[in-house]
This record gives sequence, structure tokens and C-alpha cells, in this order.
Amino acid sequence: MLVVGKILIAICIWLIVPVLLGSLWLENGRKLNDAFIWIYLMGLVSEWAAFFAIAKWAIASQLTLQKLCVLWLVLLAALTVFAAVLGIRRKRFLMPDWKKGKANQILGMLGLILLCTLAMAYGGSRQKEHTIEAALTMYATDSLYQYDATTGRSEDEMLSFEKAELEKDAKSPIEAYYAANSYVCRLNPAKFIRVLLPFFLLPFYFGVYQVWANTLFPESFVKRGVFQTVVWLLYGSAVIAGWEVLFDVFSNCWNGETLFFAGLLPLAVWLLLGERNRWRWFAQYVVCVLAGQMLYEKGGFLITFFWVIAWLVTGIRRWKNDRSI
Amino acid sequence: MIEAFEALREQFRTFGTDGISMVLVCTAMLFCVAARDRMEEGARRLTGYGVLFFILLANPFGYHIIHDFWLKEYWKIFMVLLPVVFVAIAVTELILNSKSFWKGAVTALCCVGIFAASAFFKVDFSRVAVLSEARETETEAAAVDEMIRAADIVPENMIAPREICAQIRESNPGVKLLFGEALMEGILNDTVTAENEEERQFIDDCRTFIAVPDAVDYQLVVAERYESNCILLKEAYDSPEQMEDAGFYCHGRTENYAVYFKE
Repeated sequence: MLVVGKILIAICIWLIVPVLLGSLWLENGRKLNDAFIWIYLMGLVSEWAAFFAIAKWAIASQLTLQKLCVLWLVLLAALTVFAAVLGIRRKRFLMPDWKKGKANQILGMLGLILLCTLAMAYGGSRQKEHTIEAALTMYATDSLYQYDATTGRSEDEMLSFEKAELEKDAKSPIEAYYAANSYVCRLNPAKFIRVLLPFFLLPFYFGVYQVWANTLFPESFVKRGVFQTVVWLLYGSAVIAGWEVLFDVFSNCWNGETLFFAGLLPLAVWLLLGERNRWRWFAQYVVCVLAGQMLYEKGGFLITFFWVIAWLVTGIRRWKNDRSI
Repeated sequence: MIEAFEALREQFRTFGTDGISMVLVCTAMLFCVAARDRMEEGARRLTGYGVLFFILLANPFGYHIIHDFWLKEYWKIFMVLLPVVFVAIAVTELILNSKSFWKGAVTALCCVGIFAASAFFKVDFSRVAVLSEARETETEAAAVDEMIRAADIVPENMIAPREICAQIRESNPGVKLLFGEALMEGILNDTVTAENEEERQFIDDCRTFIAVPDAVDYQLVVAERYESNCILLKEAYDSPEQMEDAGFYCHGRTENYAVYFKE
């Protein structure tokens, strides 16, 4: 019974809160079921960005994990209440129409189950990845980036190489995020990451390519389905082709770098190529930069870099359109 | 400039060996450029973005700036191009724009062939082996952890074989290891530098440990030097007499490892 309660809290943090937070991104007059996947994705990214902002401060102030958790819960609760109140006042919360496109949803769910099974089977099968050790070390020592995760040495016992690695890790505190969420759910981080996270993160990866499919082939359900199938066949082929970069989606879907390159990055490109409102465009940039930095040490730089590219594309297009007029 | 061009080509190759071939991605992109007028607005925008990516980033000048100032592993920037998305667009359009089912099926087969050729028909089933090995190591690590907890001794500077040390830390964060996986990786990739003589000595010790993991006598010397109270030995090179002579006693054995403690 206790485990069920813990899993429910995890579901709340990883599914319900992101949907509520994502609803803040809805334009006036739009409802939740207009763009359910997009809202969920934006909510999760916003959650990462919010965590990054407080985690950086907590790490710099050398706070304990417990204190970070309190801060994180307060912030999450405040944002959730704000989003819920705003959503109710603007009548945004209409349940998605499950009857519409039922076949589409069933196929999507089946695909997701298959992907989660693959990720469960291959999860953690790769070495050279220390997210679990790092989260577990923080959880066990109630600290933030104070101990080397691979040896357990404290700061004064570490080699300079290990200190540099720890500093590098603290730049993108994804491990602290997992440790904090495990602490909130009172779940062992190793079990939380290995057993539960694939079920929360694979929908994120899947959702990212679904929004791409919806944009690329808005008129054809079959094309969207084939597109998704090809994307996941490409990722799946990494199992027999020995491709580390693509295979990581199954072997370490929780790894910050993987999450950044295979998840956040495609979403960010999609966002910046699609958004027309200048202020929302900028707000999305800020959130993506923070979330990118949270996942990968060069994430902020890369997002900024291609945002500039997108800005140039938009500029060129406008210039071309003006000329044709 | 020629050097930068060569280096860029190498980065293309590096990306191709660890992910989708860049030749295949470029072909898919060229297809998108050619079929631009037939495609939806979203695909047209993405194609424009892809072209600009090449103009700005995937050229010797862009390489020079990015590699020298921001990203040492330049090949990772190719992920910004969204290779999976471009290939998936091209394949979807090719298959579903065929006029009959059979033509579509043949096109799909051709796509599989091109894809396989772009990966040089490399089929590597080691992943499946890795999976069973990883599960086996996990089981072993759990058994070792159980023994350590039962012994009621906190391992200080434990010496453990490279293939299992990460799993030991994942099972029990209270264990302090002498040589961690990150350090060993760093030594193998030649990215570790020592700041003083003490560190240099430690790194050399670790290097020797990686080079000769079966040298029990060397592990005992290292254990003595760094006051280790626990050594995990592989059954294959376990030497009970030598260990007992050095003051270690065997606390228990798993299928492949022996756990030694020193009071």
C-alpha cells in the first residue's frame, strides 16, 4: 500500500504537475485538449527549468538535499496552485476527447508500451554512466555534489581530477533532480531511476516525435504513424548496429545528455520553428535554455546557438516574403 | 583550412560510427530540398533550418570556431540537425507517395537496404550479450553487497574489479572505493592529469591495477599503501593463501567473486 502511495506521488510529479504547468503556456481561449501532448512536454520542460534555477542556488549555497527538497516542493506547489487556479478561471481544463481518434491513441499506447519494455530490458546495461550512483550518493549523504559518486570520497579526499568532474556535473544538476524527486517520493533512487523513470521519460521522447509528426504531416494520420514508426525503428536499430548515441535512449533514457540530444533538442527546434508570437518565443527560449543547461553542461549554449539559426531562418523568410510582395 | 576540412570529415565519420551515417542524413536532406514544394509548411521550415545548419555550422570555418571555443566533441553538434527526423521524413514521403501498395513495399525494402549500406552492413549482436552480462554483474553486485552488509564492516578504500565497481556503488553508497570507474575511464582515455606527486603516484597505481587486474600481490601492496580493509577478487585469480598471509580473511564468495576483509 505504501509503495502504491509512493508511485502515486511520482505520477503526480512526472505527469499531473507537468500537465498543469504546461497549461500556463496555453494561449487565451484555448483548451487543454487542443494540444494535450504539447502541454505535457512544455510542462515537463518548465519543471526542469524551475528546478535548475533553484538547484544552482542551492548548490552554490551548499545546502543539503533535504533543504533543496523543501524548496522544490514549495515552488512546485506554488506553481501548481497558480496553474490550477488560472486554468479553472479561464475554463481550460476539459478532458481530452478520447473517443476522437481512438485507433490513433490505441496504436500510440501500444507503441509506448513496447518502447518502455525495451527500455526496462536494456536500462542500465551500459557502463560509463554515473547518474544512478550520483543520485544515490546525494540521497545517502544528504548533500549536493559534495562526494565523488564513483568512489564515495569527500571533497578533502578527492583527486583534482575527481573535483573537476564533480564541478562539471554540478553545472547540469540532473542527478540532484532525480535525488530530490526520489527523496520526495521516499523511493530508493536506484530503483526510482531504473524501474519508474523509463515509464515517465519514454512518453516524453515519444511525445516529442509525435508533435513533430503532427507538424510535418498534419493532414495524414497514416504518414504520422509511419513517421513515428521509422523514428523508433532507427532508434531500435541501434540495438544491432552498436550505435552508442541512439542506443542510449533505451539503455540510459534518464541520462541528461541523452535526454537533451534525443528529447529536448528536437522539441526546442520544433518550438522555435513553430512559434509566431515574439514574447512567447522568447519565453520558450529562456525555459529551453534553463532546461537544456539542467540536462547537459553545454545545453544552454547549444540551445542558444540554434535559436540564433532559427532566428536567421525567420529573418530570411520574412525578407524573401517582403521581396515577393 | 585543409586541416580543418580533414578534421571536419573525421567528425562526420565519428558521428556516423556512433549514430546514423551523415551521408544518409545529407541524402535525406537533399531529398527534402528537392521535394520541398510538395511538402507541408512544417517540413519546408525544417528543411530551411537544415540547410542553414550546414552553411553556418558544418563547414571548416564553423568547425574551427565551435571546436576551439565551445565544444571539443564537435560531432555532437550534428544532433542539432535532427538526423532521425530528416531520415524519417524522407522515408515516410518515399513510401507513402508511391502510387501502389507494391511500389511502396519495394521502396520500403530499398530504404532498408540503403540504411544498411550506410551502416556498412554492420550487425553487432554484442548488445544482447552486454545485456545478459550486465544482469549477471548486477546479481553478483547484489550478492557482494549482501555480504558486505552482513559483515557489519564499512569498507574503506575497497579494491574492486573494474567491471563491477560501479554496480557496487549503485547497490551500497556507503562503500568507499579506492579506484572508481570515472578515474579508470579517465586513465584509459588519457584525460586524467595529476596536480602533485601524491596524485601522480595514486594514478600510476590505478593504471597498473587496470593493466594487471590479476596481480594479487600488487593489490595487496596497494591495499597496504592506502589502508584498504576490503578487497574483492575474481574467483579466476583468487589466492586465499596469499591473502591470509597479508592479514585478509575470506568473508564469503559469490559465483565469480571472493570478498576479503581485514580487521
